[in-house]
Amino acid sequence: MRTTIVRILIAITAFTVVFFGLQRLLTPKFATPPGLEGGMMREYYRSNFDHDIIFLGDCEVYANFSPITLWEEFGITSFIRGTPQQLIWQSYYLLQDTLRFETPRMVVFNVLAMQYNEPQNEAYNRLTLDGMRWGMPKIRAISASMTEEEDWLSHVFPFFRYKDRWRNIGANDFRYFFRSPRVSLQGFMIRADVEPAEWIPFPTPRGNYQFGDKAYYYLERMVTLTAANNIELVLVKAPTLYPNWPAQWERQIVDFAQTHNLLYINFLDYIEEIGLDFNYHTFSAGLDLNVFGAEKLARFFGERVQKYFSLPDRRGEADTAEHWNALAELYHRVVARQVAELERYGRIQCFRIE
Amino acid sequence: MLFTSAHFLLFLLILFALYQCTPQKLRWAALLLGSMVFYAFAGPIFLLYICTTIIVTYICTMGMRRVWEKSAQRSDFTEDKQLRKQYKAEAKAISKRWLVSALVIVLGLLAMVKYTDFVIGNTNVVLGWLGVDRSFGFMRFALPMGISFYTFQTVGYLLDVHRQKAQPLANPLKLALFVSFFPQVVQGPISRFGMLSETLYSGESLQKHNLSRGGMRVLIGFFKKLVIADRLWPALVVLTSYPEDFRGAFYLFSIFMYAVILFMDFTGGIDITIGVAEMFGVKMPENFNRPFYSRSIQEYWTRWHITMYTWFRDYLFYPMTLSKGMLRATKFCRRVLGDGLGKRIPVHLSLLWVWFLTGLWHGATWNFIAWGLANGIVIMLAQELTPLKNRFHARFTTIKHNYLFICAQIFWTFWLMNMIRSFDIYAGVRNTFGMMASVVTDFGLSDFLARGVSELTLYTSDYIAALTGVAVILWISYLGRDGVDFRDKLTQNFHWVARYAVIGIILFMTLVLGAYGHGYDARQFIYNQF
Repeated sequence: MRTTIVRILIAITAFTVVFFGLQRLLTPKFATPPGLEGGMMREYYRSNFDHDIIFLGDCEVYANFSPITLWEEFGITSFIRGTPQQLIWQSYYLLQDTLRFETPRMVVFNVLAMQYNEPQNEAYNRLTLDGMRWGMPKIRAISASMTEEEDWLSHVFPFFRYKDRWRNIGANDFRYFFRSPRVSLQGFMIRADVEPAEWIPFPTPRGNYQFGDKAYYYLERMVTLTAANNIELVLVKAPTLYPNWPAQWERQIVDFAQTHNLLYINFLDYIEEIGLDFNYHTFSAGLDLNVFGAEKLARFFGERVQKYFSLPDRRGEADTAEHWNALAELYHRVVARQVAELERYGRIQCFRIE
Repeated sequence: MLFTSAHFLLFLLILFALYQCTPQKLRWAALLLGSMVFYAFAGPIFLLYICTTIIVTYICTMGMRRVWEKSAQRSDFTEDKQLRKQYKAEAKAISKRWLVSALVIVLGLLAMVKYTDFVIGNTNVVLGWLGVDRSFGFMRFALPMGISFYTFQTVGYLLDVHRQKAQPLANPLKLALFVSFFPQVVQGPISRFGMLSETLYSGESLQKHNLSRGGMRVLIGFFKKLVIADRLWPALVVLTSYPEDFRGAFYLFSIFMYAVILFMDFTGGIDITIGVAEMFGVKMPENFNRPFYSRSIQEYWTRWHITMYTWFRDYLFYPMTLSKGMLRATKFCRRVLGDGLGKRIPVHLSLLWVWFLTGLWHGATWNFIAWGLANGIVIMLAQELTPLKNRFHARFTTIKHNYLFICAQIFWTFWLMNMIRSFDIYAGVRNTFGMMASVVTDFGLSDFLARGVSELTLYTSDYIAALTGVAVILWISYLGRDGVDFRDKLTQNFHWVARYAVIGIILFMTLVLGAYGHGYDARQFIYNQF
């Protein structure tokens, strides 16, 4: 009997080790594009959880605001918790998740996500949800985001989602088996390349421009949660040329901000003032800003923030400065490396930060 | 609820707990509850059909029981043999009425849901031929899960009770369990009451031995279904959906692929069925015995879908061959055609009729009827050629044991069955014959070699996965080559570490290489549609 129990225990242990080993091997490492963004969410948990500003939103935040510029020029510490097509309820639960670790002074939410009222796409869900640390916010975020093709089992055990990657296993899967590569800096995706915006896609007319109930519900909850934690909530619309931001949407956000006494900045109205030139400051033909555009936007935004909220300049705090100066050094090194690669090869060779 | 779904595994876990917590005497009731829940997942409305079958069967078998009991009581009071014989004959006649009533309703239900539209369709065609400007609308009955299987199992039970080979169940709920026992209701095997009832109602506790052996069998079933059958299935769909593009050599490739898929799908399902039943301590009949090693079509049908074949043999072929009408027909034929052929013709006619019904049982299409008749004709020809074969073996006495000759026989039987099976996969009998003919008229070997499998929607890695799976199954088959269960071989010949490693490898191959989850359409077993 005792022998049998020992054997079964050994078998269960072996199964568990192999299962989780395979799960780790098969789960994407997000070391190269496309899908680089999938690695960004988990990087928050490697940070020092001491941020004045947390940015929430989709692709309009993670490439558009340079946290290093905010630090270098205003002494503001920040982190971007953004992923592609991040839905508003995902942003809300990410805020809940953030509050488990720290209480920032300010939360900046990019309002483009208001356009979605229902779960959209399994692949984008994965980019956001897989990287979240387990806890009630993640469980609620999954519950709110699941499309018909998703199931709980594959969220709990990503093995069941990524098992078919056995045919695409490559060197990176072994290289980053124990530790995933760093692909962002404070949640900011550094891109020094340029793809000019030569034309802007014609906006698709919509039958209904009214934001959905669910979107409003989570925006309201975001207002309540930030207020309860004494956090300033700022709504922004990033200065990207598309997706189109119709006047009807703008009106609704302006009304919401007025009703709730929130600061709302539509950067589209300040493109010239910011100094953005979409022949140079975008790496995706106007969809996202490159690092140089993001620095300009961060500068503009930092001035506004200082003007309205007077966040403290923390460059005088020794520990904080040491930490952030190291980040800044890394940041400039990566930008310089990318510029050098662009000059030498015409494209970025390495998207990893370290 | 698919066997190969997480829901089924969860359902099993709950049922294990419920079963174990129930007192031994009532464990069969836990199995019945589980079976009804399982069946309700297919569609609660289908419970009506299966419950009707159960109720009708119960009433009629109780009727038969009363008749036989009464006859026995009356016989006890008399010593007169003639009178006893008379009582028995009377009882048999009344029992037959009960039997016929039950068969009419039970088979009528099957005919209604499965064959009504087939009859309507053919009637409309005939009316069209006759120039009648009228057609009937289709009824489009939904086919209850496993109706062909549980109906045949019930009919077997009715006949056994009528023939006094089985004692009818006095408890209708126990009968309900026999008819609806959840592992077998999806695709068989078609169990006999005598065998199944030995363990079905025993309420044996869950035992480590049964759980590990049954679990291993279930794992092999999952492996066959998910790693091989479901992974290759999309390629077969392409091959058979565009037959005009995949003729000649591609046709041979298609029927070969179908043989592999059908074998893995069907035996995989049966492995899961038998394995799950074994975990509950219930013994079910085997349905396969390495059929692709058969050296003749007759042998093949004693190794493939054994329970169906023996059902038709025992409940239809033998009674028909030995019926008064057929004996009279034999007499007539012998008088007209002589002793040899005259004796065989009625047997052949019975054979063809049984195979016609076997085809019809598989599906309400002319393709399946053609498939059944093709089997019947080939078996009939084989029987007719037996004297020639015997003379050949008398002349070359050692060839029977010659390895090459045996391989040639296996090869021939395998491809012959593949050809017959092509009626399953192509739309229309004429189309199927056209595909068969394309091997001669339009072989296109260079086209086959040039195009290969690149147009079949699968990646090379899919074929590698499936071939690896086939290699594993061949190894398992090799382990059980002497009629020994591979699990016994594994236990006897392997150190426990190696044994666990083998099981672990098969488990992880299933988990990683299995065609399930995101990006795959969960596919029911092929035989479930029959």
